Formats: sequence, C-alpha cells, structure tokens
Amino acid sequence: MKPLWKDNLREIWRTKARFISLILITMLGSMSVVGIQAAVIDMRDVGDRTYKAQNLYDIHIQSATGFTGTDVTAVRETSGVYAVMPTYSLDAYAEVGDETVAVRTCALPGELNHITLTSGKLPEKPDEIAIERRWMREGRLEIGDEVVLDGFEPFTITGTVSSPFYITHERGRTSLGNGQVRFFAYLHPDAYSFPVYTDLYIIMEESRTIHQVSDEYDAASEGWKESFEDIYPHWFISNRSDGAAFDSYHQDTQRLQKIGYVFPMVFFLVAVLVSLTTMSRMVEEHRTQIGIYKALGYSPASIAAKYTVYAVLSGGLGGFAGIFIGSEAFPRIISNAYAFLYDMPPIETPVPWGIAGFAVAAAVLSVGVVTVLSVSGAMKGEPAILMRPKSPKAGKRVLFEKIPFFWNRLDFIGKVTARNIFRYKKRFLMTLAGVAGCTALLLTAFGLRDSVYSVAAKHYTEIVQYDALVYISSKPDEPFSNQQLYIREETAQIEGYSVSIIVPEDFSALESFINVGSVQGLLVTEKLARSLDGTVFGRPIDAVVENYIMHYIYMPPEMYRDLFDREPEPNGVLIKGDYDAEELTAHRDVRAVVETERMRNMIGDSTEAMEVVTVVLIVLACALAFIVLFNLTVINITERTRELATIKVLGFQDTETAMYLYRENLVVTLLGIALGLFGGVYLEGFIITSVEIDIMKFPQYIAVSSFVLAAALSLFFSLFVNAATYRKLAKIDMVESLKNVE
Amino acid sequence: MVAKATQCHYTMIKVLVKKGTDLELNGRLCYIDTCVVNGGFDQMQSYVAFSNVVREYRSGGLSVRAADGVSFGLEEGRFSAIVGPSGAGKSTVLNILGGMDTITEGSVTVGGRELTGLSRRQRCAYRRDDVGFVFQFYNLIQNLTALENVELSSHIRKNALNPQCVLADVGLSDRVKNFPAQLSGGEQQRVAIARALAKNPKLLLCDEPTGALDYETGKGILQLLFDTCRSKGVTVVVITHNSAITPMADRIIKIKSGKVESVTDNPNPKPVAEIEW
Repeated sequence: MKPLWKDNLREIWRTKARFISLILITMLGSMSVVGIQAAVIDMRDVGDRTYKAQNLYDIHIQSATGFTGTDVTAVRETSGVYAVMPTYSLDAYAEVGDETVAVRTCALPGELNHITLTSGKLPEKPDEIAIERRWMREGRLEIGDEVVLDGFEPFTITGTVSSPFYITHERGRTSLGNGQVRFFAYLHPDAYSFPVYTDLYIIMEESRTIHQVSDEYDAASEGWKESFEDIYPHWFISNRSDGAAFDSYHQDTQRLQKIGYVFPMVFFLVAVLVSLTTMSRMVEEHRTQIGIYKALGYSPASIAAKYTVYAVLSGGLGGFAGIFIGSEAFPRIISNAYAFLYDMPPIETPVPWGIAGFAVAAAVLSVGVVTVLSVSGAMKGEPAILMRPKSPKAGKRVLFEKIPFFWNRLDFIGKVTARNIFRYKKRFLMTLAGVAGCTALLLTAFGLRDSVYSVAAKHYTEIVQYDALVYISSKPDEPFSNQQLYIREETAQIEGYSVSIIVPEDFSALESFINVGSVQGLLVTEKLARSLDGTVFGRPIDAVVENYIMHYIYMPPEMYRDLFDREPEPNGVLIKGDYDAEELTAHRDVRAVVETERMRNMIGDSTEAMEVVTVVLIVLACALAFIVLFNLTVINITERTRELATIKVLGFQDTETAMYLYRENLVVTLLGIALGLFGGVYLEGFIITSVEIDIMKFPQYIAVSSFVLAAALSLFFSLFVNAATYRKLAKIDMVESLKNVE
Repeated sequence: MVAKATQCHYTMIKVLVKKGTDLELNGRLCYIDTCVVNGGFDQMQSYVAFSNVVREYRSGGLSVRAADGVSFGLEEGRFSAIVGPSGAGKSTVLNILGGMDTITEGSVTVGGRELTGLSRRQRCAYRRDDVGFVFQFYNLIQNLTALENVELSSHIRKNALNPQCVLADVGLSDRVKNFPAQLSGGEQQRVAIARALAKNPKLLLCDEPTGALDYETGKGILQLLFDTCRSKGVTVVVITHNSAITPMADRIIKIKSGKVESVTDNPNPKPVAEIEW
C-alpha cells in the first residue's frame, strides 16, 4: 500500500470520533431529505398499485333516468374508453340499534371496482347481503344475522367486505336523513328490480399507463370529465377528484412533500456546513504535514487526495446509511400515522434512487470540493513556510467595546468572553444556526401538537355551545328542552369543500348555541371564506366566523326562502343543558342524536396520528442539535488547545478552564435559543398551514409550556455536550501543547 | 550533631552533613531529611531540591527516561541556568519544577514543600500561587490586549500585583492596549514576563526565553529577567541550549542524557551586556 494511503487509514483510525461524527451528520442530512420524499413516493405508489389492482373507475356517470343497454353501448364506443361497467346502487334507511341511519347499497361489481371479502362469503342470492365491518361492530351483528333495509325484503348477512370507494371513514352524502351516509353494503344484482342501470363506471385507456396518484392523472382526469360532459350533457359526470377521499389522499401526499422540502433543507444545509467546517479545520491542523509531503515531492493532487478521500468516504458512508435508514424507516412511520386516516394496504419501501443519488452526490460533491479548495489553499506556500506554524489569528477590538455603557459593566472574564465570541465568527454563527435551528424545530414539533390537540378543545368549547344536535323527521309536539333552537341543515359542495348550511329558526338565538358573533346575516366560516371572493350564492358575506372543524354557512330563514324558494323546514334541534340521550333517541320524531362530548373525543382520537409526526420531528431535531453542538465544541477545543493549555499553566483549575470555554458556549446557546423560539413561531405557522386537512383549520397556538420545553431541551443539549467534552478539556496536555508551535 | 551555617545562598554550603542530623541555618534549626549527593559534595537541602528524580515516559512497549536520577539544588532569590543539548531533559526538569509534569521516582521539594505527592488540583494551585512561566513562543492569548493578558493571571491570584504597574516595570506602559499581533517579538516576551510576574510568584521559570528572538532583543530580555531576580528577590530559572549565556547566572546546572553532568556556582556573574554569543 502506498504510504499516503496508509497514512490516510491511520488518520481515520486516530480521529475515529471526528470521522464518525462526519458520518452521522451526513447520515442525518441524507436521511431527512430521502426519508420524507420516500414516504411520499411510497404512499403514492401504494395508491397507484391499489387503484390499478382494483380496476378502480376513472369516470362515474349517474342519471336521473338511469341507463339503458343502448346508453352503455354508446359509452363503450366513446373514444379513449377502455371498459364500462353498468351497475346499480341505492341509498336506504336501516335501523342500527336505536338509530335510523342511511346506508349506501351497491350491486356486487363485475370487472371494475373490485371489493375485498374480509370475512364470510359474498351474497349469492337476492336476499343476501355483505356489509362493512364497522356496521357489524356498531350494530353488534354477526354473519347469519338479519338486517332490514327500507324498501327491501329482509337480508341475511353472509360476510363483511371492504370497498375501493371508501379509503377514509367518510361515507359520502345522500339525499336521505341528515345527508350523511353512515354505512355501505353490497347486494346481489338481482336484489335490485330496476328496469335501468343507476350507475356507469368507466376506465379510460390512458389511465392504465399513467401513475394514478399524480398531478398528471388529475389533469388527464379533468380532461376526460369535460369530454364526457360535452357528449352527454344531461348526465351527472364525476371523476375521482370529486370523491373527496381520493383527492385528499393525493393532497396529503402533496402536503407531506412540501414539508419534505422545507424541513430536510434546514437539516441538509446545517449538515453540509458542519462537515465543511470540520474538513477545513482538519486541513488547517495538517498544515505542517502537508508541508512535509510537499517537501518530500508529493504532487499537490496526491496530497489533496488524502483529505478528499477522508471527506468523500465519511460523506459517502453517512449518505448511504441515511438513504437506507431514511427510505426504510420514515415511510413506515409516516404511513403508519396516515393509516389512522386512510385505509390502504401496507406500503413497499424501495430506495428512491433519484432523490437519494442527488442527496448523496450533493453532499459528497460540496464537501469534496471545499476540501480540495482548502487543501490547495493550504498548499500555496513553500514547504518551508508550511512547515512553520501559521501565525495565529490577530485579536481585534469588538464593536461592543465602543459602547462603554455595556463594556464597562462587564467584569474581566465577561470581556474576554465577549471578545472570544466575536473572534471566531464562523464557528459562532454555525453554533448559533445549529442551536437556533434545533430550537425552532423543537418548538415547531411541540407547537404542531398544541395546535392539533387544541383543535377539538377550541372547537367544542369555544365555538360549539350546544350540548347535542338532534336530527328530527318532523317537529315534535313538545320541545325537548327549555333551551333549544330549531335549525335546518343542508349540505352543499362549494369550492371543493363539503359545506353545511345552517338555517336557524330564530337567527338572533343562534349566538347562544354557536359562537358566531353578534352580526346577523350571511355568515361563513373562516377557511371556507378564504377560498371565496367575499360572496357566496351571489350574496355578499356579512361576517366571517371563527371555526376549526368542518365548514359552515349560517343564514337567516328569510334569506333561505329568497335564495332557494322554499321553506326551511327544520330537520334538527340544538339543545343546551341536561338531556336524556336514551329518551331522545327513543322519541318517534328523532332520527339521530349527535352529542358534542362524543364528537370532541372522536376528533381528539384521530388527531393522535399527528403525535407520530411530532415525535419524529423531535427525535430528528435532538439528534441534529447533539451532533452539531458536539462537532463544533470539539473543533472549538482543538482549535484553541494552545490557549487552553496556557491558561491551565497559569493555574486555572479544570473547572475554571472549562468555564472559560463554556461561558462562550452558554452565551451563544442562549442567543440561539432566543432566535430559535422566534423563528420557530414562523416555521410552525408555515408548517401548520401546509399540513391542514380540508375539514379542519388548525389554530396557530403554541402553549407556553412548549416554549419552555423547547428552550429547556436545547439548553440541556448544550450543557450535556459541554459536560461530555469536559474530559477532553481536562486531558489537554500542557507540556505537549506548549512545546512546539502547533 | 548540630552543624552550623550562616551563608544561606549564593555560594554552596560546603558543609558535610548527614541525613538525620540538624543544621542551624541563619539561626534557625533545620532538620535534614534528604541529602543530595552531587559533584562529590554532600549538599544540604536548598530552596529547590531535586533528589534522584526519574521521569519515565512509556509509549507502547518502550520506555524512555527523560530524567534519569537528577539531583541538584537551587537557592532562593538567585538566577540559575539549566543548560544542555536539546533532548537532554532540561524541559522535563522545568516542567516537573513548574508542576506541569509528575515524576516516576525520587523527590522534589520547593521551599520545603514536597511536590511529589500533590494531587492534580494541588499542583494546579501550586502553579497558580507559586510559579510564573515564560515560554519560547510567549503563548500570549491573541485575543486579549497586553493588559488583559496580564490580568488573566492576576485575576486568579489573591495577592496579585497591579497589572498596569507590572507592565510599566517591564517597560511597556505605553503598549498596554495593544494586541499581541501588534507587538514585536521582544515586546510580546515582555508581556509574557509581566504576566508571569503579576502573580507575584516565588519561582519564575523560563523555557528558552530568547529562543525566538534576535540577538539584541534576546539580551534585553535576559537583562530584564536578571534585574527582576535581583530587585524583587524572585528565584529565576532559565533553560537554554545556548551555554554562552551561562556566565550571567549564579548557578549553572548542566544536564546531559537525563543526568546532571555538573553543578557550577558562579560567585561573580557577568553583566548581560558583556556577554557575547
């Protein structure tokens, strides 16, 4: 082996700690870049695979008059159509426990929209039914039990199925009851005695070859929809984006992708900066050695190779480790969090070589190039000059000294600390950035949790004042409670949002049931209002009201009559105070009771998914803080060995020597924490709006305890790193450090 | 047996004493617990006494004896020089004396205090209170002004001297606000001496203090060290490989291959100005 290579391997062995910390920091950088993007890719791929395996429809057509065989043939012959499946569906009331709920029934599918049998068997006769598991559970049913659907003969349950239409808990809207479908069920086609088909499902030729969870698919899908609308103008044509769940799945991956751009960039930049500082420090330390090699006649290229190999090797190892860990662990953790929201098969986790290659190449190249630059900079002088020590960086007065008010108030050590902080500006800024970045990330993570947790609390304590919403089929003879308000609730699709329109019988009474403020007239909730231009239904909006869950439009009865030309027949009652839920449910006019307390708990449960994301962020932020601080503190010590040895010789005890250095670290850490808390508020605001889901508006709320916790954790890390490097300080050999000029 | 002696330093007490006997020194009765055999003389305990000091460095399987049975004494308030070729063990001796290094065997006392058994903390306190160091390359803190460099050492010592005055003593009263980089080599070494003196040390240890300086400047520094010794009564020890400067010392200890080759007293030291090398 060439001596230079031997030297290199020994160097790695000798400076294990530095080599490993370089590996770790590059690993963290590439892990965060690759990990989140890999999660996005994996989640999209599993969607694409699943949709294709299910032969999921691209276009869904419904018609008031139904479809005949001729219609089906016409559609089948439309250009670009790959397959058409005519089928039946019908929404019907069913009794579940004491409640009357709307159930969507579909005929067992043919070649499209494959369903999955989860237990039992599929219906084989018109009097058999396969229902969803949730219905089975909530209705306390078993296979073989009988269920009754309004308008049908009784059915026998043969099994449970899952449907490709429903990837979330949302079951869609219906014209029945309160407008919400509660459960779905599949029937034998012969159960429907219709002369015509109710639905046509279509797969387009083009969709078989494109990725189905992509902007490309969305654009193509809009095109197909439009072309069908042109040919068949009386039919109601919809595509997957109109089915909210498919769209929100895609949107969620887009949000994740956005977070995946911002967060890892912070990580990656800090990682690259720290590796650069470390490598240029290493070259500096080796100035004399470089001089010796040069004097021996080694070419600049072969000398530079030693350091470049060191940098590239650590960067490469860390980069690849980060790729494998990132593309394996991150997608699993993140998709697991989303499993609360979407019912999707388990993901596969291939390495996304495109992004991975880019991340590693960028890291290795930037560190490699800077290493070459600093080596060639260091090699500029004659060997004789190189072998002599570099003159130390001259001291300077700092700006601070020009303000006598502050300067004169500092004690001697305070002055020394101030000077030193400003002397090593590069490292000072790096440490500041490291601590600030970590604090900001921690605050964002904690704040995210605060915001998400506070959604349910804020909505159901500050906005919703009623204790139950009772859906009724007609006004009861006697009021349910002495504090109640009749309302009409209808649902509508506005700007892609599913919106509830609430028409109270007495608008002036609404304020005490729902905190809508004192303005009377056309009121629109916050997030919906943001996507409107100040008007809705052609009327100017009178006020925007605070709201966190779902979207609402409140309007007085007169306006309703005016707009829709019909009476706002009450279909619900808001109740405040004590009520007997059982008695209410048993009432003949009552269809369903929605209790505020139960809703609040339900939302709380579902937001727990965010906890996972929060924990991932906290762990990453801590790891980053630790490695960055450790690296910079070690560089600080090695750079100043001579200075530290000098003060030890002067008789500074180990603790005093440590404090000499720690005081600087502490000041920078505190500054970094302050900056980080400030930046964290903005970062959290940005992230919050990126991760919001359609039906919720996350309040930007960070608890005081989160500020304290983020600051305390950062401070703890800084102190911990200082403590960890104490031994290194104590071990500084005075004799060796002062014998020669380094 | 009680031996009597009146001369306490400057010339070696040529008195034959034995371990375990008492010696009356300047009217005070001292107990002799160590006798140092040196140059054929039995020598009483001096202010600084090295006796059979061994310092072994181990690296891997090899052990190197940087000091191999070193014995000598130094008198209080005198100017002593330790000379020898490089690698002879001079710096090892100085580092041990300065509490920067420990010994493997033997004993070292300073002012009757045994350094051998001192803990890390106690050695640090000894450096802080009793010793001032001057190095070949000054070792000033680049980021501190001349005054602040001096304050750095006075800051940690209770009865320290006024840094301004000490700087004036070394002739730098008009450079107090300058950073090391703004000072010449000689001036930097003066700051280093001031920093050592500000602690009001008993021992001033100088490791090749003129090594990095030109001839004239080096002479100026030596003069300053000598004057400091005479005027303040500080015990000064200078290490040098340049034996030409030895005529200015009260006592010269020659070291070679980790052993003391000779200890010579010089009753009439030459003024620095008259020395040439």
